[in-house]
Amino acid sequence: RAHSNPFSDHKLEYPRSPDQMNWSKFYPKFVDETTGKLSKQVTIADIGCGYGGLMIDLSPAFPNNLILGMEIRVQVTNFVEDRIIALRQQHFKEDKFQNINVLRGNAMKFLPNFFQKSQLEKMFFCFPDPHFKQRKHKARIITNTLLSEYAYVLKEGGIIYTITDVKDLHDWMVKHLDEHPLFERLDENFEKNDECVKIMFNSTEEGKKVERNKGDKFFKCYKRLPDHPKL
Amino acid sequence: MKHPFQIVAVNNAGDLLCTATKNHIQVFKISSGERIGQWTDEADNTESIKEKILKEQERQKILKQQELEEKAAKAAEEGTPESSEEPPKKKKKKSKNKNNDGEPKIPTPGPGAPTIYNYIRTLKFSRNGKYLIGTTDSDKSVVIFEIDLSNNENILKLIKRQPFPKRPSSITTSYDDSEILLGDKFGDVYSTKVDTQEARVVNSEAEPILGHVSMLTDVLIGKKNDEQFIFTADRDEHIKISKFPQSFIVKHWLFGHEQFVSKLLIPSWNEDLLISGGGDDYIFLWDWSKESNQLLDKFNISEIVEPYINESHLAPSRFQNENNDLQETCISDIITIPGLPNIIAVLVEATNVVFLLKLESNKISLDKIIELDSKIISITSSNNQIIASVESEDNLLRSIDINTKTVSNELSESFKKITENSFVEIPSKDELYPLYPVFQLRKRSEH
Repeated sequence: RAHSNPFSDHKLEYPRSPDQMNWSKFYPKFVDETTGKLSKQVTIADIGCGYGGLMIDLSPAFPNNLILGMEIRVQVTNFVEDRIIALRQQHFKEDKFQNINVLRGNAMKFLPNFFQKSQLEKMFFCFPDPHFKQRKHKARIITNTLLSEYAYVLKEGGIIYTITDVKDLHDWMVKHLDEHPLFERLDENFEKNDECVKIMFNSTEEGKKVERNKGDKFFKCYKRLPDHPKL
Repeated sequence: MKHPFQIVAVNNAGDLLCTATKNHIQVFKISSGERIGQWTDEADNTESIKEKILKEQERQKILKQQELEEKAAKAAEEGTPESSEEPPKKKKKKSKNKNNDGEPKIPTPGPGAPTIYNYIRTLKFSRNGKYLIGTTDSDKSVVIFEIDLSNNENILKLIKRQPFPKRPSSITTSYDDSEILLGDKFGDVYSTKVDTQEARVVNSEAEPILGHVSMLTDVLIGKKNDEQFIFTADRDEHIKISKFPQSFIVKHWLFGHEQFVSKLLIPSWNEDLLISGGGDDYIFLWDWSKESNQLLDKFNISEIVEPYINESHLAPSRFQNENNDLQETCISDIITIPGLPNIIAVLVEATNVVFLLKLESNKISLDKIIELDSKIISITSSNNQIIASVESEDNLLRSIDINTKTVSNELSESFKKITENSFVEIPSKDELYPLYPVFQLRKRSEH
């Protein structure tokens, strides 16, 4: 299935609170043997990671960051899980792809169950479901109300990356991010020099599909501002 | 028979009782039982639905037009002549959409669909007692009444009727009563001013000030060092605290509930505390002003509720266990009592008891169980009593004296008058509107 209703009560597993989340099984190579605890926190999140292409390209670029993909569709999540297991086995000797993993979850509902305040450095929203109908707009992954929750889990200076091939959705995301007091648009200079922008533009399965169909790709990045509002 | 009151609310002075029954609001003098105010929601929701459908159709049309224009522009730019394959495709699409262009169809429930009840779901006095605020199902409005005691005919003067995009499910007012915050079924919180505009009916295009992706069940405003905060509770166990009016800044979440949260309370005698309850077996006590370790205590109510559980608490058959004895209870109200500091009154839905719980040194303990003769629908309190609306045929109200903490018969005469003076009649019990709707909030995830 290409779509999933973010409002319905899926049978989801999620921790009661971020304190109760057990990340060790997701990143076993990062478990400190003496304490049995994870030596790092997840700092990069790919919301709606789809088939995982972005994470796989981010993995070598950010070897010291833990990267998590969240995906609401069961089959897609299973596919990415298998893909990561296979990659880890293939690159067993070099310890590659140990810093990425995926979980099935509804980020729109339960993001604060997984992440502490200011935990994340980067959040990616790549080719999200466009939800064309007006009455479905609340189901879009970027809304002014959800941005406040993303701002909560992002640290100051943290970055939101958005990319889509749907102009209408792009305009929507830009409008809401521009209007939100806790986000500031990043300029072309940033876009040209940021490594993640390049990876995001070229790596996702959806992005490659758009390229094959010679479609447009629209993207924008935003920085998390400190809590005091814009004047 | 008289339809029981679905909501009761006493004003600050303790002399007026406001009630909601179906789509009617009535105000009674507690001392005499005289009805001194009433209002009936006569709005019809088909018009507003029609309007919405037309709007969406219009929008879709514009979008399609834009898309076509863009394509045409692109084709022109690239200099490619219009391919011969495309036009017939478009024609096909158009004919498919033909039936969309006519008069909007109002969706009607098919046979066997559950009955749709339009009623007043929330009713609250403003903090200063000058206004009565309710919400309607018909056009998803907030209705604001001024209490005009000089009007002998009807003390309820409708000063504002503000429709919202989704059905409101909870309301609260800012500390100065100038703004109303409203939480809706879709998880959004909107704010609207309490101003003396003429009652009007327009569809709001306002943006929500904050939101959850889950039905909101309660919204509150609290204060700490002159800074205001919004508390929002939802069906997904979440309690979120945001700043007010800078509602885009989330202060933190209160984690601990394992079922839906239906009720939040900040007691007037200690505004750093928050009490919450819902589908769990526990009442939660938080110190919300702290950054961490906010949970102070959890009080297990399942043991004290056990003797008062009846067959209506059995889980629906589809979700029942093998022994057919799975019972589910939920908290439908938690209130403070002006004359009794450090005490809260708790109502477990569809039971005939009020639990008085004591809060001492950040712990909750049982103070008293007060058993009534009928199932309780809604409770409210004044300086000297708790008034309960009950499911009974002869007298729709009961009073609990807060000094003796026992059922009091002192007001039974005026309560009988109130019952007699209520004009909402139904032919039989089959026509009852939902009296115990909270249990429906329980999540039943299937996939």
